[in-house]
Amino acid sequence: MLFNLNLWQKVSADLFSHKSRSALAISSIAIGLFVIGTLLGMMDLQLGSMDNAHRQSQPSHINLILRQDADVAVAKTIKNIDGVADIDTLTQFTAQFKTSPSAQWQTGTVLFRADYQDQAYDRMTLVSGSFPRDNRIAVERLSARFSGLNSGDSIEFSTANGSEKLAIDGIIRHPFVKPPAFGGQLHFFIAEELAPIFGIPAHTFRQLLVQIKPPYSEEKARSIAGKIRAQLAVSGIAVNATLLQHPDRHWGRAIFSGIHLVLTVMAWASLALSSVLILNTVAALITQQTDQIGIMKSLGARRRTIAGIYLSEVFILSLIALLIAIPLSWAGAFYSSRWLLDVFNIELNGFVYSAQALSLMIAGGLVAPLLAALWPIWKGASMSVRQAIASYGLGADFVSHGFDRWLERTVAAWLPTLYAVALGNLLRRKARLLWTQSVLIIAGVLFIVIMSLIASVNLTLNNELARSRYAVRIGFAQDQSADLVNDIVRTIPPTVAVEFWQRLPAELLQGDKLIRQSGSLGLQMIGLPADTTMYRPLIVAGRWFDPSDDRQKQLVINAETAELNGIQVGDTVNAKLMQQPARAWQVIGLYRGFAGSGYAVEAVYAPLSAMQPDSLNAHKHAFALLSADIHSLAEEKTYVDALKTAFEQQQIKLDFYTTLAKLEQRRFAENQFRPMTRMLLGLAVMIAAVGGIGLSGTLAIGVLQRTREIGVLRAIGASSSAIFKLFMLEGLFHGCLAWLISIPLAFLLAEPLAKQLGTTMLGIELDFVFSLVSVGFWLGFVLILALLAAYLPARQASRIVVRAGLSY
Amino acid sequence: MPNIIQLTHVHKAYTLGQLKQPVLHDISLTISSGEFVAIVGPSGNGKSTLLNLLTGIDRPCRGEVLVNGSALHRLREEQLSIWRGAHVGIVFQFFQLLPSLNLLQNILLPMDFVGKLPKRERLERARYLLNLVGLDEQAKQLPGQVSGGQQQRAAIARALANDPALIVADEPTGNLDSATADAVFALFSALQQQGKTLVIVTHNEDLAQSASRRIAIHAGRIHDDQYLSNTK
Repeated sequence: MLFNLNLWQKVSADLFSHKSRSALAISSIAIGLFVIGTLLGMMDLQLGSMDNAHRQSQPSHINLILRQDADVAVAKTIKNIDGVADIDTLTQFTAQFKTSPSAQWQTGTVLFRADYQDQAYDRMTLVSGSFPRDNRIAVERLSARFSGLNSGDSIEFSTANGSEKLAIDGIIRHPFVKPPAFGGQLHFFIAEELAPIFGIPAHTFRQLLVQIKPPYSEEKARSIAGKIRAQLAVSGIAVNATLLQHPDRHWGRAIFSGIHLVLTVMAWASLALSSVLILNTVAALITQQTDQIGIMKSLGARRRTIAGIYLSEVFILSLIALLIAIPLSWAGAFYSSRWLLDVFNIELNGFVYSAQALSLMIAGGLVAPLLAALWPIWKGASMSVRQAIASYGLGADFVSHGFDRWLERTVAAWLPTLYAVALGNLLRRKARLLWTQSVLIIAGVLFIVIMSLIASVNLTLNNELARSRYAVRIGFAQDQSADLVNDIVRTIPPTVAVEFWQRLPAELLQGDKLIRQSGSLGLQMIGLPADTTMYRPLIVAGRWFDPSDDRQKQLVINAETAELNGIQVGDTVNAKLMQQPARAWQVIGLYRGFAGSGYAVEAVYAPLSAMQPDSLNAHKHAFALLSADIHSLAEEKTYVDALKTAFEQQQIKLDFYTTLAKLEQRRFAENQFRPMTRMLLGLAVMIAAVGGIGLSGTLAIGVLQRTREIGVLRAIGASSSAIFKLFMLEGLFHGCLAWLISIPLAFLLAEPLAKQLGTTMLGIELDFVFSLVSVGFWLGFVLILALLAAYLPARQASRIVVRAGLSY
Repeated sequence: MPNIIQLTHVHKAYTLGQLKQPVLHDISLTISSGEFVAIVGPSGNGKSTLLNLLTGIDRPCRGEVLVNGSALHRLREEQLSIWRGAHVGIVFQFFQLLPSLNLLQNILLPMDFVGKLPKRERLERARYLLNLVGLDEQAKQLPGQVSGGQQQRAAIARALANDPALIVADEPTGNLDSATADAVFALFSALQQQGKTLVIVTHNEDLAQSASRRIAIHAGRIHDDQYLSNTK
């Protein structure tokens, strides 16, 4: 036994006779443990549930998005390709709809499958009502919630023959839908029989879903996808994009990895805060009991015994906190996961608590408080009897180091005395200052990093916009002749110039081996005039095309793909277009992709004149790029509507996926990134709030420890407002110091962190800019936070009456 | 000389749990301006409580406390703080200097609280007071860097900062060696010569004999009150 019954009685008396102090210590530890348990438990629960939901949907390994409608008979030929286990099909297209006669037309996604009751892959599950049949449609679950639509409502669709009103009779969960809250379109499901009213032939499909024979590997899937594309090409069907999916890993993992990075930082910041609070509480306890320590030592107590008493107290407090935090964190992990997964359309069915989170809670909950308390306890236990018994004056806790003397000479001596007192108090307990500051500094750095991320997203979008000189890119469902398109667009103001591009699905090979690519939706060769004026990507090595490249077999490829395969400028690669034999092309430049390696079709640029002899539709084009004198979204919309009407009148179908208006695209991109950046900002604010609580706790302990000092100040004439001001100033100094330190740290960390967050969470390669304005914003924010945090302790201090203060 | 302190039928008791513990019984006392009064008596007999009533640190349960024309028993806590800053200087047993301020700043502090002097004159007065207590060389030192005696002299200088008519001290030499204690008492005598009223609680009978009046408190009552030959 560490010590006898009497000393255990002292331990219990210390804990029970100061109930508010014990409650503060327990809640300090419990808050930190709760946050850690909730966040780490949530991460494991989320990833497990996401992967589980992914597996349950029977994900296709290869999803080929076709450029045109293909007859179901074609699909059957794919089944015979070596390595293919089975296939499924569906069609997804965009359509205009409105929810009421007075509402505006909106663009939505409409989807149909041959038989909803017999879905092989990418299964869509019925949430309520019925699967689509006849004229009755279903709405996607997230779309229903986002738009308020429900069974019984009607939707008016723009159809091939005018418009059609269709009633909603069911709600369906789609496993791969982009949440409308994150900028996704509303999704509707129709029966296959309704397809012709949208101008889509019956018994056709636009997406081919394939599972390959086990075992799955990305390389194998890519190779089989190549064979399927070649087979489709034989039937004259081009593939717009090829999406590969891991059978066991949910597609949202990439997005969550960024969120989890931030959550992990937050979890550890909470543990740090928790340690600060326990350190403060124990330090206050030791200060209060200094005379008791002196007496125990004078009676023969050893340093180890005294340290044992106080460490036992901390251990008991930690154990109680742990017992409180564990069930609360289970509930926290469950409910927060359920909420977040719901945003991604995933239902959380069961609860499995993370063993990792539990073990970290136990380890962190018992070890961190003891470690935090060790120093003040050991220092207290090591005090001599003389020091302990004689520590009645002010400054028993103040040891003047060289730094204090330097500060006193250089700064404090020039400050008004009240400011000098506040500054001295700030720096009095350096370890506590360090811990309190660390949480505020982390919050500040995160805030500035996220604001820099937002500024960088804007800069990147602006730069991309500046590289694109066209106003509108028209994508055709089928290649069109330049003359015909020219005749149409030249009559529509404010068209200034037109340029024609071609695109073909491509495979690049080094020797006869397919190269690995950074984009997961496949490669596409984009042919453009060697003297193009409409677009110029960001070239990171080599050069862009010039007129001398006309008819030359030269390529500009993605820099990330080049790096993956060790391709240098000047190297030769083989390119296979459609079913044509592979031919040698020389790489003359590397560009940096705007979108990252997520779900993107990767472009390989080539001179149009060099590519056309290989293509099936020579002298016809997939794209028309129009430059026009447009300065606003409204002007752009009028122009695009006029173009669409003109092409519709000429029976030319546009491809909704590849037709884009530049300003609208930019707004869409901004809206797409906004929820993520807002969430990150929210987390930074939460960390700041945690820092604020820590600061408030530090100041509150300061009030407790300096009660006698407050009494002396009162005795020499300090008014309540002077005492209040003193603690408010200390809070403000904390805020200013955290702000000052966070600036250089943020400056150093902003670029790598923002770029990393840009890649993992937003899927874009960022042009970085440091947000100077955020430095100003953070100053305002941290000062307000500091004032709020200081208010209660300052008020408490100002209410201490002189006698109570002096007798403390 | 006019009375600076007048206590009339003052009673004071503290409540300890269920028990009410009387500390002072029906104390009536007047102290004239310019007196140097030493209050003596055994521990726990009410000396410090009496001092706390004179400075407004504590309030009587009954009776009146008039100091320098102010009825302290009627003032609120906030008014008492402001009154103390302007009218009384307190010297504590453990000096109670703010550890993060240098000696000069410690002396400036009450002047900043009260704001009686214009800002530019405060520094000049603080330097004057440090010089008065012989600490002009240590002006920029932190309290932890000087001796106990020097700290107590600085505390006396702080008590004089706003030029109060009354200076009270609770065991001012209790934590000092005898030579330093003599020097501090000599300083008090010099202050009395300058017209200040001093009320000092002490256990040191020899030092009490150097005051102009000796009041002995026993069991919460004035047991003895005698004027000494040191009267100015």
